[in-house]
Amino acid sequence: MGVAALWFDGRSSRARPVDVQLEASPGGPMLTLAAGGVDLLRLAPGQVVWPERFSARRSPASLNVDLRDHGTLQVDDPAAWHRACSTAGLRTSLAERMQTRWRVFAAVMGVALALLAAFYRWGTPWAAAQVTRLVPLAWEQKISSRALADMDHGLLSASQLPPQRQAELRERFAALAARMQAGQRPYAGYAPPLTLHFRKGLGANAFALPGGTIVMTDGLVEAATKSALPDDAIVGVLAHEIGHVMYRHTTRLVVEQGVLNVGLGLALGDMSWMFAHASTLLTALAYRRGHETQADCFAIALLQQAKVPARPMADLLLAIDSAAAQRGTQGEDSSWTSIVSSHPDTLARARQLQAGHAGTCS
Amino acid sequence: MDLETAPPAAPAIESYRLNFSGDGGVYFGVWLVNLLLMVVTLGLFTPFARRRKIKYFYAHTVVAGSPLEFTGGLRRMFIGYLLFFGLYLAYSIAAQTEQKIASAAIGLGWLLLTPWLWASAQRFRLASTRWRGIRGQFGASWGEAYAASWPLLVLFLLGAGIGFGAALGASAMRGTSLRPQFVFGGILAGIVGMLVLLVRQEFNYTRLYLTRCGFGGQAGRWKGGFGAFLRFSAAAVGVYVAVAAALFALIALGAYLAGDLARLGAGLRAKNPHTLMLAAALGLASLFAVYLAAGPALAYREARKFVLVWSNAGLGGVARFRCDLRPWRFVRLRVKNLLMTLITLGFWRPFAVTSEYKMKLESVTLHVKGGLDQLAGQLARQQGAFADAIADAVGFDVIG
Repeated sequence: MGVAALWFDGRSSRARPVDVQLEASPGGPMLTLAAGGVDLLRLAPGQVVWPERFSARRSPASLNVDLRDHGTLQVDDPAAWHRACSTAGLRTSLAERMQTRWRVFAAVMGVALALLAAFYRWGTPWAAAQVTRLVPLAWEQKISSRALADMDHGLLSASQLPPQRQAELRERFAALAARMQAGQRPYAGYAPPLTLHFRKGLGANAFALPGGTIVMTDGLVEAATKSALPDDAIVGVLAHEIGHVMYRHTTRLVVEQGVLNVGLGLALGDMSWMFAHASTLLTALAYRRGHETQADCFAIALLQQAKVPARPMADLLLAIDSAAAQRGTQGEDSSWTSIVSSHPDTLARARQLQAGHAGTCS
Repeated sequence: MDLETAPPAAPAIESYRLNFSGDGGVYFGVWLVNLLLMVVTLGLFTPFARRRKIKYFYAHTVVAGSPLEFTGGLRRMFIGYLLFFGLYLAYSIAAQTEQKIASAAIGLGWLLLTPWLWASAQRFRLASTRWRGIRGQFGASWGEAYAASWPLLVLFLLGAGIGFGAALGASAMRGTSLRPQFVFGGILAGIVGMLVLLVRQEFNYTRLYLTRCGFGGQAGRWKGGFGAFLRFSAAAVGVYVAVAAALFALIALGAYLAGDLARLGAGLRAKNPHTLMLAAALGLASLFAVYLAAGPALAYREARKFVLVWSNAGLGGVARFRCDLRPWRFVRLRVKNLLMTLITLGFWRPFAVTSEYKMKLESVTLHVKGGLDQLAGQLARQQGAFADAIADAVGFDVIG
């Protein structure tokens, strides 16, 4: 059974009506062009660029078949062409099968979703850990000193704590850091010098900058005093911040975002930019929660080494949380008030700390 | 009948309106399948996806009863994609890790390469386009491509000069006070100058493309002028200002209805949380308005340029084009598409792309003198898929 077509040989734009025959052969259909009962051209399967079918139901009015150096065929009955192709045993591409068959599409969709989930769950953290190993400590320290200098220009001011009190807390901090054991270091060979800075501002807060800089605000010390909690509470918070430093969480977050952006950009291309941005943002939040848990686990272990109870730290977190909630109802901006703001579930966290062990810690 | 005395028959002119036979629904499938395969192959499918997309549009672009055909080779497109990705990665790493010299060198390299990339991309695209078996060709030499790129060079030198001058001026003028109107005047003149240079660059490339492309032994011709480019660009700026003003008026009205503006001021001074929230929302809305206003203006400019290009283009002595696209109709379509894309988180995009392509394509009529059979083929040479990949990434693409 032949298919009628117009043949353009590439030497002129003149059309030549031909009859196209497709016969099955081991490598795919053989194509023969004939006019007036005379064979004009015989092409092996590899000499033809078989056009893709984009829809099972709708075909364009006419279809071009690329014969490479032999020009092109224009077929005005695409449905007949595709029938002849499948009769002659043409193997179609995966893309075409997805395009024309729902089941194939659904199967690839399932694989894609599974791959995305695996990429998010294991791929990105693994790649981020590998990249983070390569980030030099000096680079982290450079970033941190710049960030701290920026914050000193507006958000933070010099600490009002008496020098004696500062020295006391620094001593506790140094003693705590000295109890850290080699097995507790997630990155072998990564031992940044740990320094504690006191500042005023940003409410009751403490945060770790990459490369060993830990900043504690006067508000945190005052909150502990106000709740009549021992210094162990503050030491607990510091242990948590040391955890962030040792796990290099800030660097990891930057790298993870980079890996995700590159990965998503590669995979999604010109896909919905809003979808891509939203997923990057959501994963950032999710990874961050993971980091907080990791730092808590680190703190619990380190406090045990140093024989410091974890309960006062939990009490301090709860006290700051309830104070922040009260202020929040009075309308003050509470987004910066405390280290509890990045933890959606302070209560559960505190309970875990009070118990002195964490179910989620490995 | 005496053939000698019969008047010579004037070659008949036939008219064909270009036609897009595709539809958004099927293209949505093409787009979704591309997307899934790109995810599954971690992006390696990208060049295949681009080829499928171009093939879909070409196969449904019907010119005088015959569809266009895209014959770009997959291997070339794939190598081009890998090269482009490597360069892009090198640049991002250099930029992210603040290696200023490396990223500046790569940036300068881009600038010097742009004319070559642009010309290669056109060459590849035209040589891969076939209609009735005849391939297009791009005949501009490298010299012509670089000569046409003078506005880019001026822009770069001007930018470097301004940066250098500002650094010098800031240290020299410390303490002396400059009248603010001079500062604003200078900034405004700088912006206008840069925009004019950009428009000139676009005009140069458009003219070079349309006059140096060829098809079946017939050379392209085009009689559009720079004045027209400047006029519609200025009109687009006007559209932008008008739309932005209208959006701001709407926001102000909304603020007025949500709460008295005076009370808003008082609340701000008192640091009332609700007022602060409202103020933040207003600020966000204003930023969004600045961004949104660009949509209609860009669409207006695109349509005016399309009309200018396709009303003045022809091919040798055998064909000319006419275009009756109505710019405001196109703007309405674009605004609808932008809104739908926002509402559907981007999933409307295939429908947006096809509907805009269809409106533009079907506004063009081809007038042919002497029949469709007279074009002669030329030897095909394919090159420059790398440049094509880059051209696609930076947005020179013919299909959005």
